[in-house]
Amino acid sequence: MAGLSQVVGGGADAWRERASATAPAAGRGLVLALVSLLAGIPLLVAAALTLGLMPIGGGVLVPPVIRAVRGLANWQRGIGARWSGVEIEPPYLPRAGRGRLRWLLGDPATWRDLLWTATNIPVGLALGLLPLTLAGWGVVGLCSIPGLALSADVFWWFGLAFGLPALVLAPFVGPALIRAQALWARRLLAPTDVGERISTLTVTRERVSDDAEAEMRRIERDLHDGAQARMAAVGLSLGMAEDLIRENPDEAIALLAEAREHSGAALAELRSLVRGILPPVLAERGLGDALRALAYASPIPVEVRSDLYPTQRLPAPRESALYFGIAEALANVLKHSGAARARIEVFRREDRVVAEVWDEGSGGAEVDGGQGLAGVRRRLAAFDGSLTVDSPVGGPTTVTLEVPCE
Amino acid sequence: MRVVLAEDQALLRDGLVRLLTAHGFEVVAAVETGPDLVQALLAERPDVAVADIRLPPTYRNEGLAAALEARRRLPGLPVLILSQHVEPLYARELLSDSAGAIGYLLKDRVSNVRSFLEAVRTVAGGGTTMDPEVVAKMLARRSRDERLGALTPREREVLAAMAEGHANAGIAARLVITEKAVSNHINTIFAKLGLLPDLDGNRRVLAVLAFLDTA
Repeated sequence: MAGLSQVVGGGADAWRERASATAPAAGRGLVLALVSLLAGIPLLVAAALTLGLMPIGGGVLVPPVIRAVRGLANWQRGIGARWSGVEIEPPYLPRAGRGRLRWLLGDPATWRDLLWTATNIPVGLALGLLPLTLAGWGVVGLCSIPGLALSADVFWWFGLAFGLPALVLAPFVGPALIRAQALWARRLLAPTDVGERISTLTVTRERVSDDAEAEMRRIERDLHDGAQARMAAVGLSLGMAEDLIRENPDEAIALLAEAREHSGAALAELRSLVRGILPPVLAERGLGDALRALAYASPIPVEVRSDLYPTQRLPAPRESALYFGIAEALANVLKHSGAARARIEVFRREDRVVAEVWDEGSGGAEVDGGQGLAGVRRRLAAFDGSLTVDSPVGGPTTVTLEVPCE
Repeated sequence: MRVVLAEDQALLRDGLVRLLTAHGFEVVAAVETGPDLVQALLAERPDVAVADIRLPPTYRNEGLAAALEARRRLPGLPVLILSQHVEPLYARELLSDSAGAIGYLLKDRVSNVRSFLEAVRTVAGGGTTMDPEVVAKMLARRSRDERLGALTPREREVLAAMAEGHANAGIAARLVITEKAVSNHINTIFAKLGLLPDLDGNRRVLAVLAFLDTA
């Protein structure tokens, strides 16, 4: 309705806006047409030559050419958004450690770029020059009115007949043609579903393996600096006690007590490390009881509702990802929300397992940068899972975690 | 005193057999799996069972399940559960029948021979002994409870020692105070927590644990 009232009420304004869009459309069309010819043709020729010469070493030149084609395609993506509001996401796959040629030629987007470059020569030329032509005829039409007054030449009638409709059409048709060119480019240059899926998978795989690597390093460091060092100390104390047991029994007893202390400390460290890798209750009882144990240890009352039966356990990696995600969400509740109570619910919804962590605290929670919930989201993404946060300022907050259970 | 032992790791099993035998216990059966444990308990009816919580075939909580099953058939059968980690959730299940004669300790505690043997004897005698770590976790979660907040630091120490299953003499020795001071503290604690004052021995421990456990 707003649009209508603008056209009816602010008719003059709308017309002025339309009219002032005519000249830019003509100029933009000219740019599109020129680019389609002057950039498109040389790039196509270069691509054909280098790809054709690949068997005899043309492969060296392929990447720079492909990159130049991508440059042109990206220019088109930017222009489409800026001039016509047509957003086109770049579709390219991450390199992910592959060889350059394999990466570039194995990406379907490369070939769609080339197809667009080729077809854009006629299409871009036609769509690009039309707004300029229309505007030109409009100028002719305007000139025809004084022209008719000066002479009875039939040309002026002709100009008037073509020019006036062009003058009326140009403000509408010009921008529409530019937009049409962008929409058409989007058909070839936007990510396809499959491409997008591969992209997402590649990225999540990289991230998950990075996270796993970081985790491994942390565990290695903890073992090395903690339990291993302490066990070495145990051995040392025992050896010294063995040495002294006859000549100085009191000293030997003191050393033995020291060894016992070290071994107790080593075990305590191993316990907390094991808890961080896989909580024993989760290993022994599954998600429901592990969450109950988690809630038990919480200083605020946490209600746990789970409709998963111990018998129907999720695959272990998903179970732990969910558990650690819920634990992270609950830790955030305790740290930031100021809530006096919280609730954890786990249930099946169609073919997914959904966990909701609710609290009545102050709200305003976000998925932060690289740590915490963002890390959980990455871990869940590996299974096509997701994490969403609904947390208006003033609360309540619900963090929802999902993983497919098929 | 006749003992049935369940521990799947040979190193620890042999060590425990040696330790118990050296101190005058008679190990009548040393088994490795949950089903074997149930069978040995029902066949031998020992004075006390000492069982690891995680046993083959599932390596989940076979030991706990076996102990609970045996106690269902032989109410009050004394069981001491050993584990690499302690969970209030499991402590609650062990205590659920309120019959006492239950112990739940970290495996590390075995290295302190004297107190480990004392725990075995306590359980065999119908008492209850909880690992300090379980008690600490229970205390921590009740930290917001007003009644607990009303306790002095010294009273909290006495309460923790009581929950672990120590008798008045043991608490007195541990805190280096007289037994009379201990019983005074305990009366004050019971008044503050709203527990019945005339409980003694094992029922007192169970009452304290029940208080710490209720959400």
